[in-house]
This record gives sequence, structure tokens and C-alpha cells, in this order.
Amino acid sequence: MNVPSSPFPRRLAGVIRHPRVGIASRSLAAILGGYALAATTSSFLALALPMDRAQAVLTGMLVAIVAGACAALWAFAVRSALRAWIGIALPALLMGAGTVWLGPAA
Amino acid sequence: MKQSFRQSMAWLHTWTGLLVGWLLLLIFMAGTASYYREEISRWMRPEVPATTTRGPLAAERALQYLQRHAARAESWTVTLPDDRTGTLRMFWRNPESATPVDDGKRRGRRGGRFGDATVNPDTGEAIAARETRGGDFFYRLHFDLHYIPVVWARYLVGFCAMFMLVAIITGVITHKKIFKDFFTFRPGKGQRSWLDFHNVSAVMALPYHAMITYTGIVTLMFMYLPWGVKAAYPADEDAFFSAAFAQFGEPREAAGTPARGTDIARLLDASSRHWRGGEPGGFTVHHPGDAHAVVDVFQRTGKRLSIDTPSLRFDGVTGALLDAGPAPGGATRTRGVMYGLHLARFADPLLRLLFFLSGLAGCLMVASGVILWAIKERPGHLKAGRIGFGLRLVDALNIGTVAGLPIAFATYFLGNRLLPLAIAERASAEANVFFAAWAVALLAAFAWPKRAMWAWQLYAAALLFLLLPVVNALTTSTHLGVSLAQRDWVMAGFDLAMFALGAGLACAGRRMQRWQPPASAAARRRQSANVVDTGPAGAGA
Amino acid sequence: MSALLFLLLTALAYAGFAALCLSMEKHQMDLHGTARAGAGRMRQWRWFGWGLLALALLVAGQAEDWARGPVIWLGAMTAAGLSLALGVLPYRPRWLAGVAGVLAGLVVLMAIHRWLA
Repeated sequence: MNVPSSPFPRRLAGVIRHPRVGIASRSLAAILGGYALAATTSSFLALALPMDRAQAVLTGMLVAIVAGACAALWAFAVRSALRAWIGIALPALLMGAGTVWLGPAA
Repeated sequence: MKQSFRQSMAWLHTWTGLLVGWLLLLIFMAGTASYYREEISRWMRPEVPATTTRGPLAAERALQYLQRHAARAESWTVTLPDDRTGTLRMFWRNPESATPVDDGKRRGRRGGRFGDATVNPDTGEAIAARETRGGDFFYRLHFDLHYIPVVWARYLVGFCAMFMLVAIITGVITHKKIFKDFFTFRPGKGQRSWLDFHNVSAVMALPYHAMITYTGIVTLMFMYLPWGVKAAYPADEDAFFSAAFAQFGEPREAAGTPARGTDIARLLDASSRHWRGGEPGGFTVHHPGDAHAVVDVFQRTGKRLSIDTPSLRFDGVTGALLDAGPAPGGATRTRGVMYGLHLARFADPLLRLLFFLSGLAGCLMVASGVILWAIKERPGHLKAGRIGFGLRLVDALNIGTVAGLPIAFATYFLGNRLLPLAIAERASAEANVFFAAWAVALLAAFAWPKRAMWAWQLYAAALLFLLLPVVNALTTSTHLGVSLAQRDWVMAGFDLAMFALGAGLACAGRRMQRWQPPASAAARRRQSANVVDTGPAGAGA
Repeated sequence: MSALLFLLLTALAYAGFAALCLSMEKHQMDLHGTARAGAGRMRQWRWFGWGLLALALLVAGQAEDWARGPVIWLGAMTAAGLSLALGVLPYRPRWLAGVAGVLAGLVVLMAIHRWLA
């Protein structure tokens, strides 16, 4: 017996593919995701850079600003909103994990 | 999105620019004015004469003042006068308080009772002048905005700065013919001219725009990105600041026994010799009058780019050098230069003029950007027969901000001259006048967002600026006649600059008033055909 | 920075930009139409222009230190570029070379004045 596909999943897919939703999604990725990326970049570099602790913290901040800007560009340059999120969230998660793993320097 | 990289960057450029453009205009205009913060402050306190005392004598007068008014303070900090600020600035920390905060460079617990004073180094007395915030109003407006809690304002400004940074990068990516169109500006061609102008004002000052935006974020980065500090210094964040800024640690405890302080002139001279000619910019006395007094002398910014200057720590009683200060690390020096580039304290008068010019280019870049958007949108709306909500909103904001903010600036200065001297909270009143004027301009623009309103507001701004030197002459004795004769270039320069701004705005108003829509190609062809037809034959008829 | 250095850097930057402008086909068309320069001459202008800009940077770096120097150089380039693109080229294109000459003359006069004083 053929089960007709429910209209709801198809409608949902239609909504998701609406350009406005894509733009909103990318904007969130750029702004929230971008900030998360900057935050984790600064904390990871503060712990990971092989220099004096205070100098590493400062360097991390200076680089993190650029990282945040790059995230915004990435979010709108890639082919889909999903790629935008992955490209930003993945490095952010990795660096967040790295921060936790490295822990506060002795 | 199913469009090319350049197209998506163009889209991003439009929206990052448009959404924060008007707030950015406020930030940019206030920031550009801040290059002349000290000069504006001087003009706004015309009662204060130009001073001549500098160096050790000024320092001694400062200490005499502090002995009289803050003898029991835990510390005194004095900034010595230089050619831009002819006054002694001092603040002190009263005994029963928590650690001090200075400028966000060193985070401390808030609270603590401070006193401060501005003293004339010629007389040793506190400056008696009309209560005003002078140029500091624009400096604070630039990052603290107004009427909202400072923390919210700084987050908002930082958000706008990030949008601006993205707008700059996407603008460069999207500008296909950045080299070919480097010198291209074709006036009188409508939308094409506005795009050319936007491009030229952006590209010709591109190093400046990129620098000022990035360094602006850097100045407040401890607030925006505290995570590195929290990760690396989880127990004691203050330790980070001491380490990062190569500061002296806490001075030794007070002895409790009084002792005579050493001669400050000796310490200033010793500092200058140690720095091989670098001049002292000020000093801090810890535990004044105590046997364990300590004096930190810090160097004036002078020509060095960095905001951080070396300092020396002396024994306050014997005058012996205790500590020559740790050497700053590479990242510290980098951040110092970034911060220094943003404030441009190192700029001499001519270099300062170049910075100011670049700031103006930035204002014009943002203004032409938001205007360009409206111009591009309009044909679609005209075709549909009515102006939609979005375009009407943008038109109103454009007029009320691009023309309205200059009105507010001029009104602020007029308020300084015209508000009664004795009213309570006069400094706040002056600030309120600024925003009241801006509000009126915005309301008028919302009521009638048409070309005529552009002309009206530009003319109004021009009139207010041109009136300023006149009002100055009528209300004070520091007008152009006097200032030019005395070669007081700060007072004279300000009045002349107001004339120049007024003239420029009047020209802009005139262009707006006389603008004719560029004839369509068909109309132009018809026009030239008529001329040919009624040529020699027509003339004779 | 002294007034002389400021004037010198602005003159060099303006002259450099003017030369680069003349090295571009688009501006040659606008300025000279059919009498526009050929590819060889435009290449000469390009070398000349870049050379002048590099010279300006060198002068700035030598006169001040190599931290302030580039800052001053960029400021002078901005001022010169804005004047050329928004002032001379659209409204008085025939004055393109003339302005460079006037600036150079002012520099010489000021230098002589300095030397004599």
C-alpha cells in the first residue's frame, strides 16, 4: 500500500529553502557564530601560543578580531547556510575543546 | 546563495553598511571632531587665558595646590601642561576607597573616592571658567554615546565597528575596478557620480579607514573578548594586566611617619636625562608626605606611536631611582601602537590635519553610501507610483543625520556661548542642546523627506556655522579680531574653520536646491534635434 | 612634521598620482582624445609615477623615523589623491600638470627660505 508523503515535511522544507530564511540563518551564523569563533580563538591562542602568558593573551585578542570578521565573510560567501554554520561552528568547537583540554597554564 | 562570490560580497557590503550607517556617522563625526578635542575645549572656555608656564615650575605649582586641597590623599596624579592643553590636570585618591580605575587600561573594582582639579600653571589656582565638557563631550560621545549606560554603549559601538570592518573588506572585494577607477569621479551624472564619490572617498583613504576601524575595536578589546584572560589567568585577572602592561607593582606600604618630599624638579630632570631627552608628561605621587612616598614619572607621548610610554619609579624622599620599569613584550608593544594610532596623540599640527582630513573622508564615505542606496532604490518606487516605507525611512534618516548632525554640532557650540553661565548642570545642558537640535532635524526630516528638506537643513547648518564666529564676537573678547592680532591660532583657527564649514555646507545646500534631474536619453536627443531644426533657417525666420 | 616636509611629501604624492593618472588609457582619452599617448609613453608615465611615490616614502622614512614616516606618507597620499580625484581631474583637468608644477615651485621656494633663514 502506498503511504502518501505527509504535507508537513514538504512545507517545512519549503520554508527552510526560502531565501529570507537562508539570509537570517547566515546572519545568525555571522553574528553569533562569528562571536563564538572570536571568543574561542582568543581563549585557545591565549593557552596554545608558545610565548609568555600575558603576551599570548594579547596576541589572541588581536587575532580573534580578524577571525570574527572572516567568519562574517565566510557566512555569506559559501553556497549554503548549512556550510556557513559548519565552517564557523566546527573551528569554534575545536578551539573551545582545545581551551578546555589545555586548561589554565601552570 | 546562488550568486557569485563578488555578488554576495556586494550584498553583504550594502547591508552591513546600511543597517548601522547612521550610528556610524555619529561615531565617525564625533571621532573626527575629537582629533581637535583639546582645541575645542579651549575655545569653549574663552575665559581661560593662554598659559606659558610649563615643566618643573608647573609641577611645583601643582604640588602646592595638592598640599592645600588633598593633603590626606593616598596618591596624587598630575598631568603636566603642553602646547595643546595649557592647564594642569590632576586627580587624587582619597584614603577610604578601593583600587582605582584608569581608562579601562587597568580593570579594577569600581568605587573609591576621587577628587580632580584643573589648575592654571601660571597662577597655581583652579581654573574658573564656564562649566562645560568642551571637546571631551565629542570624545566620550564617540564610544560612550549618551543617555544610555556606558557598557551598553560600548557594546553597541563595538558591534557597529565590526559591521564597518566587514563593510570595508567586502567593499574592497566587490569593487571590481579598484585600480582602473582609482581616479574616477564624474560629477553631474546622478547615481554614477554618487558611486564614484563613494568609491574615491573610500579608496583614497583606505589605509586610514581599515586602520581606524580595527584599532578602534582594539582599544576596547578587553571588554569585548575577556575570554583569553579568563582562560589563562583564571584566579587573578589583575595579574594579567600588571604583566601585560609592564607596570610597576603596588608601591611599598605607607610608613605612617611624615617626611618632607624631595624636589619634584630634580626628579623630572633626572627622568629626562635617563630618557635621553624624552620629556616628562606627568607623575604620580604615592603616599604624599609620608616617609615611604614613591614618585612614578611617566614620559610624554611626544612622537612615539605607542600609547604606552616609559616610566620611572623614584623614592619620594631621597629621590633615588628605584625601578626603571620592565621592558614591554612584543604583543604589548603592538597593542600599544594600535591604540596609539587610533588616538593619534603623537600627531603634530600638520599630521593632525591629515588625520582630520581622513576622518572627514570617512564621514563622506559613509554619507555617500547611505545616500547611494536611496538613489538606487528610488526608480523602482517611482515606477510603482509610491515611495515604500523602507525608502521613506532611509530618506528621512539620511537627511536628518547627514545634514542634521552638522546642525547639532553647530548648535552645541552656539549653546556654549549662549547658555546662561550660572545655570545648574550647565555641561549636561550643553549636551542636551546637541541632541535636541539633532532631534528637531530628524523630526523635520521624517515629516517631509524631500529634496527641499535637504536644502533647508544644509542651509540651516551652514547658517549656524557661519553665525558662530559672529556670536563669539558678540559674547566674548576672544573673537577673530583679537585672536588673529595675538596670533592665538587655536581660537582663530576654530573660528576660521567654522567659516569654512559653513561655506562648504552652503555650497552643498545650493547644489541640492538647483539640482535638475538628468534628462533621459530620449529627451536629450529631442533637445539636440530641435536645435538643429531651428538653426540657420529658424534664426532668419 | 615641518611645513617643508609636508609640502614636499604632498608635492611628490600629487606628482606621482598625476603621472599614474596619465599612464591610464581612460584618462588619456578624457584629457587628450585623439592626441593621447601611446602604450610606450604610458608605460613611462607608470614607472615615473610609482617612482615618485616610492621616493616620497623614502623621504618620509628618512626625515622622520620608519614608524612615523609611513604614517605621514599615507596621510600625504590621501590628501594628494583626494585633491586630484575630486578637485583637479573632474573640474580643472587642464590643470593636472600645472598643479604639480606649482607644488614643486612652492617646495623650492620654501627650501630656499629655510636655507637662507
